[in-house]
Amino acid sequence: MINFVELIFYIYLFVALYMTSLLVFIWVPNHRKLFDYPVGKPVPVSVVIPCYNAEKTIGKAIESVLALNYPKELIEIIVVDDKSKDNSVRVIESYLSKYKNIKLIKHKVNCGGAAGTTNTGVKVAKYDYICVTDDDSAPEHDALIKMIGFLQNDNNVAAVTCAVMARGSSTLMQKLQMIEYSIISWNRRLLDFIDAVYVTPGPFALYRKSVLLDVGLFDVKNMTQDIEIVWRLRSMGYKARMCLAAKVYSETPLKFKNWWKQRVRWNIGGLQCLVKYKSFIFKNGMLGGFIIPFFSVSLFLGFFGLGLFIYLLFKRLIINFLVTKYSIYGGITLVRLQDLSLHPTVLNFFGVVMFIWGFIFVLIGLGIMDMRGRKETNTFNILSYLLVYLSIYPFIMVASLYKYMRGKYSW
Amino acid sequence: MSKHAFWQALIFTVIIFSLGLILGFFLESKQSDRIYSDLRESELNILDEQLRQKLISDSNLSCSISKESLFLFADKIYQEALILENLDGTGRLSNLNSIHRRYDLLRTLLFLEAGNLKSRCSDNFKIITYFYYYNSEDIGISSKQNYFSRQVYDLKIKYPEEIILIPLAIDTGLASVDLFLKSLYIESYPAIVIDDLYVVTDNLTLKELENLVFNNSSVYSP
Repeated sequence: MINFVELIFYIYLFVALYMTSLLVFIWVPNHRKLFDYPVGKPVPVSVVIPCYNAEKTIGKAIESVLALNYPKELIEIIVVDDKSKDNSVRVIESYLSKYKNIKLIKHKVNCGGAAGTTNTGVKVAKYDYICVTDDDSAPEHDALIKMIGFLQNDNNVAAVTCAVMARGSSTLMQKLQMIEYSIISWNRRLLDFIDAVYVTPGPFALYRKSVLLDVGLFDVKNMTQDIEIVWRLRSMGYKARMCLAAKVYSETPLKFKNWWKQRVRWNIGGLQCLVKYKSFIFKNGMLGGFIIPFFSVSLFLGFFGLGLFIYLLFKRLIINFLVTKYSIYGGITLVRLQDLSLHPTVLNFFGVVMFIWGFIFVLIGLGIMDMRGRKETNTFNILSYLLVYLSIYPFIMVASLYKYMRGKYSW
Repeated sequence: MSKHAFWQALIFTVIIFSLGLILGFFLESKQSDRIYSDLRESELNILDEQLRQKLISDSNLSCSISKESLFLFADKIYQEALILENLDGTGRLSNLNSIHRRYDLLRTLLFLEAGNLKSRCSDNFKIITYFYYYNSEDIGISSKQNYFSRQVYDLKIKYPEEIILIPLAIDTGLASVDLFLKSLYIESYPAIVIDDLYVVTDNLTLKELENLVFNNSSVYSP
């Protein structure tokens, strides 16, 4: 009969199959509309670039905004430096003399995160449409013009995000992130079809200044202000939309250590949001009906699955260790042919089918995002992404929860 | 809006999952059928063996013929038990417990047959009975059982003509097995019983066990 542990695995497989099926069932009827966007007309926009220790990238970020296919006279660029320790300010100042539509605001004291820095920029912005972009990101030339129609088309829309793509592929970590970012962008657009966009990532997002001021600007205490602001907007009846046709390229961590640190921060932010908005569960449309339950279930399954995995792994390791120890002591055969079971279980079959399903899902996503056939998305990297990269997430969750519980976290 | 995707995906998932479970039941029932078919043959064998025992005692057939027949049967049962053990790890959906119980009954009969033959023919072959838990979550017991199982297996491989090996699960709830266990006064399991005389519950080396089996050392007598 099925024991408790196997039942848990069946539940996991069911949830995984359901979530991927949900996305496929959204994708199939909408696959021709994925890259659609409402045509907007150019209106004045303030672009806010929060900057901290970005001497190597801030120049490119400013230039990519200057290179947008958008009337130059309608763009105001506000770079807010959060008391950088490097030469960021000098780099920014070199642009001030050349372009009159660029402003630099220098924090006298480091405010400790992107939220406070962005808020400074939003407050001084001249225009109602605010575009926020990271100091290491570069939007495609047509990104802004493709996104602006979402705000003009629906007064309830207060935030618009775009496809965030990973820039750089010099390490395996970056290649895997390239796959991840592509799949996430596709999935986020699919969630847009059910009005469930839950984040407007920092690399490039559009907001209404009046609404941001109305809801109290970005939360300076939250580690992921770009998730929190969307949840707050949704809790107040506003919408967030996703434009897949617009792309922004963002720097990704080169090494595991930095990647881990970044993901822990993101997860802590997610936990903060869950705690802050827990009272909205099953309320407020898709925020309480899907987004919060989805986050909660993911968190629970991640923790529980990791706990179960560690328990089973240790149990197996201890038994193997003891048997080997006894066998060496007893002078008996260490490995027998009989130990190699050649009879796969039904659970094994389910696992293999689920893995193939996941592989196909990733291939579809990469195809849609025009990433297929690139050397960064070869079979080895896709397999590494599915088998290794995604398996690390539960560990990140545990580390995040630990830091969150201790209350010791910062940008 | 594509909110109908929620229930569409749910129905799809339920269908795919149900199909998977049905396929799983189908595959496992085929495996079970194969085991049942082998078991039916084993039942025939033991009936055959019992008839032959009767014939032997009635017509004074030679002990060597009886012994040869008994060893063949015991080895066959042991090999089938190993296959069953392997299949047991795959039996997630169907219940193989009843098959285990029937095999345990067969092995109890085998033990009695072997004992009778040994006393009637005054033969010097050894009967090694290995008692274990069928359901054990305890790490210490599981590892000890694994070791005992390997140890008696190695001994049987080394002395195929001198040893009859009979593994018996103690927790299958069979009245005959329970009665049999009470007669042995074993205090803890897993345990290896040699010729109904010696009980081993500690980890011995293969050499120590070998000495105990063939030199009749009394160190581990119950």
